[in-house]
Parts: sequence; C-alpha cells; structure tokens
Amino acid sequence: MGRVSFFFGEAFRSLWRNYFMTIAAVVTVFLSMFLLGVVMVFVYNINAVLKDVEQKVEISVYLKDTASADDIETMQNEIVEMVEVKDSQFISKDEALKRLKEDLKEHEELIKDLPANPLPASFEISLKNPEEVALVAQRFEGRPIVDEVRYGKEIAERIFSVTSVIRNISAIFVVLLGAVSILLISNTIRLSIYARRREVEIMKLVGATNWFIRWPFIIEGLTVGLLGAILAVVFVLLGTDFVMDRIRENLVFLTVPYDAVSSLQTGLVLLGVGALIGAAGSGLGLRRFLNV
Amino acid sequence: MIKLEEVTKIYPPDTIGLESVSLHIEKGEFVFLVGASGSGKSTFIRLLIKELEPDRGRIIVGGRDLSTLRRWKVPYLRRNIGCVFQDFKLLPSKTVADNVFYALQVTGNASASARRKVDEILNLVGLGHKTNNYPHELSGGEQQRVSIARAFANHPPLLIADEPTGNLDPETSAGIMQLLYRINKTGTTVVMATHDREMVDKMRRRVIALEQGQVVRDQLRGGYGES
Repeated sequence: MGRVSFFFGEAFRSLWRNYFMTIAAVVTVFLSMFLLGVVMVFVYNINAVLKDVEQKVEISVYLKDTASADDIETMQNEIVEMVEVKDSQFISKDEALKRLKEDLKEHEELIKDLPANPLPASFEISLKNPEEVALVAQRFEGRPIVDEVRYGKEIAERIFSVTSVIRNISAIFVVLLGAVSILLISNTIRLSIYARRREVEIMKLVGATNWFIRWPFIIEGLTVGLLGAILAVVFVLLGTDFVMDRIRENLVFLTVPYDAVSSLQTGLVLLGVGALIGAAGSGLGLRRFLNV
Repeated sequence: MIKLEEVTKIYPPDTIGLESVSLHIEKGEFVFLVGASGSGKSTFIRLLIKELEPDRGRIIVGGRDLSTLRRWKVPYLRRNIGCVFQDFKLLPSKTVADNVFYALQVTGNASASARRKVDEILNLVGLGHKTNNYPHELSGGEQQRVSIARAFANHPPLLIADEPTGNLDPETSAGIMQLLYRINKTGTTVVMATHDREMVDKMRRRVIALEQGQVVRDQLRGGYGES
C-alpha cells in the first residue's frame, strides 16, 4: 500500500513539476483522439446511411392473374422458409391498387375510371444480406405463376460497389489515423522521458529495480492519456450533437441514425485507446534508458 | 571484499580501460585509487557496480561473482554498494531528505523509522538543518555530503567514491575526507578514486596506482607519487 501510494505520488508530482511537458502531451493525445473520434463518428454514420440504402434493395415478384390461391400459398410458404429472407409480404391486387391510390392522392382522376384492376399481385421480399439479391431473385424466374421478377439489378449492383469502396476507404482512414496517433503520442512521451534520462540513471545507480522506476512513469502516461481522451470525448460528443442538430434541421430527408449507443462506443474506444497508448508509450519509451 | 582476476576491459575499437588487473581488497580497508585521467580508475569503479562488463577475467564483490550475476539482480548488488560521484548525482526534483530516503525506498523500506534514520544520517553529515532544501540550493560540498549520506543510508559493506572531491576546494575536501574516514571506521570498506595528491599523502592509506589500465604500484601505506 505504501508503495502504491508512493508510485502515484511520484507520478503526480512529476506531472505537476513538468507541467509544460504534461500540457504538451495531453494536447497531443487530445488532438489525435479528437481526430480519431470525429472520423469514427463519421464512419459510423456513413455506415448507417449505407445500410439504410442497402436495405431498400428489395425483390418484387409479380404474379400472373391466373395464379390460384393455392399456388400463391405454396409460394408464400416456400419464401418464408428461405434462410436468406428477412421479411416478406404478399400484396394482393386490391392492396396494390389501394397503395397506388394513396400514392397518387392528388391525381386520383388518373385512375378513377379504370374498367378493371390492371395491377398484378406480388411478393415483396427483403433479405438479411441484401448482396444476395441476385441469387434469390433468380429462383423465381421462369416459374409458371410468375410474370416478372424485379430487383433493380443495375441500381443494386452499383449501390453495392459504391458502398464497399466507401467502407474500405473509411476503414483504411481509421487504421491510418490510429497509427499516426500512436506514433505522435509515444514520441511526445519519449521526449519527456528523454528529458529525465539522467534521473533514471541515478535511480538505477542507487539500486532501484526497473519496475520501481517504471511504475511512476506508467501512471504518468496513463494519466496523460486519460486526460487527453476525456477532453477528446467531450469535444467529439458536443460536436456531433451540434452537427447532427444542424443536419436534422436542414436535411430532413436524410435519415440520420446517430444514437446514444454509438456515442458511448466511440467514447469508450477513445478512452481505452488513449489510456493504453499513454501507459504503454511511457512503459516502452523508458526501456532504452533502463539498460544502465 | 573485492577480488579481481586478470580483468581486462577494452572500449571498442581498441582503447584500453583495464588490462590484466588482479588485486584483492580486504573487508574494512580504505583504498585510494590514483592515476591520471584515462588511467582506468573510472573503468574500475564502473566494473564494480556492473555498469560495465569486463571482456576478460573475473570480478568478485562481497562474495558474488559479477559475471554470473543475473541482470535483474544488479539492483540488489548496488544496494550493497554505496556510490559517491564527482558530480554528486542527486535527484534535482527531490529534497535533501527525499534523496536520501529514496535509497531506502528502493529497498522497500519506507517506514516511519526509515524517515527517522534519514534525519539521523543527515545530522551525522552536518546537514540536519537543510533537510527540506533542494540540491540546487546547496553548495558543492553540501551536495556531496548529501550524496555520501545517501550512499551510507543502507549501511552498505562497501562504499566506492569516484573523485568525490574533484569539484571541491581543499577545505571542503578535507571535510568530505573526514566523513569517508568515519564511515570507514564503522567497518565499511571504502574505495576512492582520486587525483588529489595532497589528500593521499596526508592519509597514508593503501594506494593502488593505475597507468594505462595496468596496476603499476600497490602500496600498503603509500603516498600519491612515491614508488
């Protein structure tokens, strides 16, 4: 116990005494964690929007008017049993007409005088993994009761190719930024250790073990990392709140799914990364000077 | 206490630190190590605390063979060797008392009695009134006395001093010597490297003279320059 409080005392005294270095290190952690946080929130939201777009890729299976109720039921059972299917809905001819009427509310006269219902009955199928849309759609083609299968083939493919590119780019961005943060922070820490290398040498000569010297440095690094990360989290959360409000006000049509869980995740990741880099950075940065 | 067998240390590429040095220092001795700069005095001392490794030969300190001593055990060796240096090597961010206390803390002894011990030792070296000052607030002689207090805090069987009076005026040096002499009286072996001719001549102790890494003279009650 005496030893633990000694290590903490040493760490905090030294943070206080070398306040200029402390501030420099905290600001470095803050800036890199803030950048990382902003990119993470950005990527998270892009992902959510992409998912939303992808979910809109549905298969519509239009049935011939000659299809009997039995045939339709058989097909419905079959669809429900497919593992790829997330959700499916049967739209009867009447329902299709009703929907059309709703859609055309202000131009009802256009379809008012139809002699008979020209719309086909259909199944609307959404998939667990929208990228399998072509595969599933194929199964319905050429069946006796099926008139046409539509899934917006080209649009779907284009969407998927664009989303995968965006996803890859943003993943690379996060990884790069993470690496840069680690370098930047550990460099700052190494600088502050270098300034005190003579002290470390003296401690060794007096007979201190490596861990006896190391602990205060690790606690220092941890503190710097946490302080910087806490600042970053505060600014990222305030910032996203502000930006999200503006987006919701001005771009009402965009579904912006930002939620509390993702903020919490971002916050925890930043705190964890900050603390880890801080502690590991000083623990490892010290290594060179311990070989006396 | 200290035994060297055919010890050679060469600094790459071919500067000789020590060359085939064999010697024996008994427990309780007071030994001067004399010689010009570059004669191997500092190499000798750095080898004793395993700050350097010899290229050849065997070094035994306090019954421990340093060549087989594991790296992680080095701190435990150093706790049994008090070290005093020309440049004092005090921690600038710690007070006088904390500097001495640190030597006790590294051994895991941070008790209240250890605190009292620090005060006692500082009184002993005549710095009882400066315990809360920082090293930069002290004169050179005072700083050296702090460093001696720290070296002696654990009551080590061996105390080595590398030109402890090198930066001090003659009067202050005499005080430091007095202190080392008293420490030697408690049974601690003292090895002191110096080129303070007057001091050595006055003390009449064992003198080991080094020249280009070799022992050229080993005299029981010697002076600095005589042969």
